[in-house]
Amino acid sequence: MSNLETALRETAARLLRDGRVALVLGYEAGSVPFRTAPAFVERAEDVERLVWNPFCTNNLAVYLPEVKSVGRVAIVAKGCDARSVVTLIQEHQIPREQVVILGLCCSGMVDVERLVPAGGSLAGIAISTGTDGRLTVESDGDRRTLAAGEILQERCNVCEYTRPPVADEILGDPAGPLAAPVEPFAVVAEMERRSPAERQAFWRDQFDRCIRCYACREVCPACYCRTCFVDKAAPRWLSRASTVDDNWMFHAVRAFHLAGRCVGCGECERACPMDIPISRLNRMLDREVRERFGYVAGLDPESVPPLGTFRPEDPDPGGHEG
Amino acid sequence: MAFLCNWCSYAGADLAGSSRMSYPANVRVVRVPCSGRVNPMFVMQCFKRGFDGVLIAGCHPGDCHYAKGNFYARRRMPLVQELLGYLGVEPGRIRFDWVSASESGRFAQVVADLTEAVRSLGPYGRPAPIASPTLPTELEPVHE
Amino acid sequence: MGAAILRKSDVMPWVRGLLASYRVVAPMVEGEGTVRYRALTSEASVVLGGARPLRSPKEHFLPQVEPLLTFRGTGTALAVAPPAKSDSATVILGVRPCDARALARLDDVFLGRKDTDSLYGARRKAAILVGLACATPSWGCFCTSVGGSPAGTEGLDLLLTDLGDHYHVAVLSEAGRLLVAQTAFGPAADADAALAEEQHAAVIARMPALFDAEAVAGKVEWEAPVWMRHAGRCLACGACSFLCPTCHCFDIQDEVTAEGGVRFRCWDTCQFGEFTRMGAGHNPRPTQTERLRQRVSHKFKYLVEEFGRMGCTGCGRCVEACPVNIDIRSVLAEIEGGGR
Repeated sequence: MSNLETALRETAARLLRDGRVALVLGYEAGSVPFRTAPAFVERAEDVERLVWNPFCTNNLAVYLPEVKSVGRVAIVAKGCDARSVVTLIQEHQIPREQVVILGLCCSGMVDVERLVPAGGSLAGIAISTGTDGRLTVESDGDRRTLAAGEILQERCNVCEYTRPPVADEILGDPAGPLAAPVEPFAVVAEMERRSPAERQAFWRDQFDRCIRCYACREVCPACYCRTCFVDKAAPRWLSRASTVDDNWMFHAVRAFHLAGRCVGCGECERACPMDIPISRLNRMLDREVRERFGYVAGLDPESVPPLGTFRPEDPDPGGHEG
Repeated sequence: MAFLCNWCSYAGADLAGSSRMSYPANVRVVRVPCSGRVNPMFVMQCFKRGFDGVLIAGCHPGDCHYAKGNFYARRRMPLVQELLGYLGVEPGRIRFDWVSASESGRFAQVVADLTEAVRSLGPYGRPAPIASPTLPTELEPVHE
Repeated sequence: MGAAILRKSDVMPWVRGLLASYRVVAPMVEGEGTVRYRALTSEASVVLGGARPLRSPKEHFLPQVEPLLTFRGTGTALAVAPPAKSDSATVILGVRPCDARALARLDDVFLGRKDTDSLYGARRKAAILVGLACATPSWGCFCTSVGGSPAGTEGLDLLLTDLGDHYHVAVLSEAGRLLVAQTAFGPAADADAALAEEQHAAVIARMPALFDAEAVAGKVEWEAPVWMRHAGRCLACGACSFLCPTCHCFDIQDEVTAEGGVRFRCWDTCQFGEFTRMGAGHNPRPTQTERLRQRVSHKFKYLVEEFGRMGCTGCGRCVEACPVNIDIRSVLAEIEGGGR
């Protein structure tokens, strides 16, 4: 990892020094060992701030529409993040020439909760990385050594794009599939084994916890509407109040707005302070879009998102009851 | 709730009416210019507001008055059905179909079929609204 | 005011007894492991212990959505009704010292100004707070940096300290004393009090103060670059403010149907982009820089100027919830340290 970090810093410094980009969007050390923070580096002498480790979880593409006014931007991108950048390019939120994708071959991001035993505390934790890449985690008198690959986020366990599919520069060796690959839509299939009444009850429970903080919406690079449907008064689609009904409407509509556009980065779920497994909705639609239209989000900057087009030979559902 | 496109399915429904065809009275019709105009949010709003079933009917593929509106709907509506199904809205409650201006009998049949399907599924469950449904009958002071 | 002990095996019997006269709210674990203060439904889900929950009891005093009045149009007349009463006697279990202190701060805002909030006031008056001293700080906690303590007593009627198979119970108010007069409680020995103090001291020792928060008020500067440095990555969600036990901004909206409707208030946050947007489109806080400045200044300067007390009790939820790791402790340490 540290070689990759060095290569990343050198690349960033070169791009800034040569004036090729005005800004490098990357990660820097966070306020605690298991977090990083999005970093905006504008000067070559500041590239030492940039880090690359299994805690670089944020999808930095979310900043592109806002920072593009500074000029050309380089973005440190994992496979999922690069696909988000492609989605933004497809939808004309940033011209292809204005972004330099620094694609990093990714071995997965740690699920921070799993750094400590169940019920353990992250307070006062210390993490060090050995020369073999394994993490030594010390917290509350407990000391363990493990490989980051053993405690990855769920979305990393099903990742198919560890090597960014679109990039201007690729850093690191293309990593093979992550350890113990899991069937990508297993979590969707699990829900489908439940009856409609069980699903209703499940989601009502989840949406009962939602406080409408919109963290899910704000971390999502695909949610860039200046005025979200939630904020419209005419027509007024739903209430600002956090009732189960309105929360249901918010999440159902948002999931639909992301159909064919969500790349499965999982940041919505990580950001949710109420632990709502919100990405399952997006994952289900991802599967449907693949099966019905043969389309995977964020692979080709030239293609049109699936709901913005059609084919005369699309399956004809007329006459079916769904 | 039935969203019917002005040029085909609404005309078909109108024809059913003027031909004195019988179909269940539980359907409320909203006329839209095209099935492609039907925003998925309309369908979700229906369930949020207490409707038990939704019909979206458009022109047959190739016959759309706006050339391609129904082609977009053809991609969009099945995804709405899938998403709502995943959230627990029984698939039988949402029907997306083609009804042309002359197909009055077909319209009546589609409505009858959907009504029957919804009846056997029962009312769509939804939680209580945020305030008591009992609205005041007398003027009362708000502050003590 | 005295002390008592409560054996852990006696907690649920005591609670069952309380249910005869009170509504009981306790930290309950839900699906996916989230802990939330809710009216007691299942004894098995009650969690008394561990790190402080990510949700606070604030929502029982300032609910996320609260009807203010309902109305109905009758031709040319309008009939209006007040909301249902919310003053049934309630006991809230497992309140952490930071949250009790936060409620005392909310009292400043809702009850300490010229106009008082009767809805909030009714709920406060009807509630008895049974506190739980923290044995484990969560990773964002910094109560000791803002004049608080994991064993603080401000705002509580009782404070329980976990001593293994029983709790030491500090009685802090008349309402607390009445609760303790029930058979579930036994007399406390000096040894219990000593053990409780020892535990408190041990936890406090794990949480050295990170900065001098009192000094921050005088050092907050309007034009300092510290705001942009930290706010640049802010995504304008409401996670920090909604989880914060002292944040209290709300919006008032109407939900109207053909027959009538309801006027309600719901949580709002100065971190949302449109919070200060005017009807004509002008926004005096156009970017996250201004909004972070507002949040920190409100808590550490404006409320200090108005009430002499900070609007932050160091619970650390904002630190833990922020998706982009904006850590208010870092911001405050920089300001207090003279860094701009």
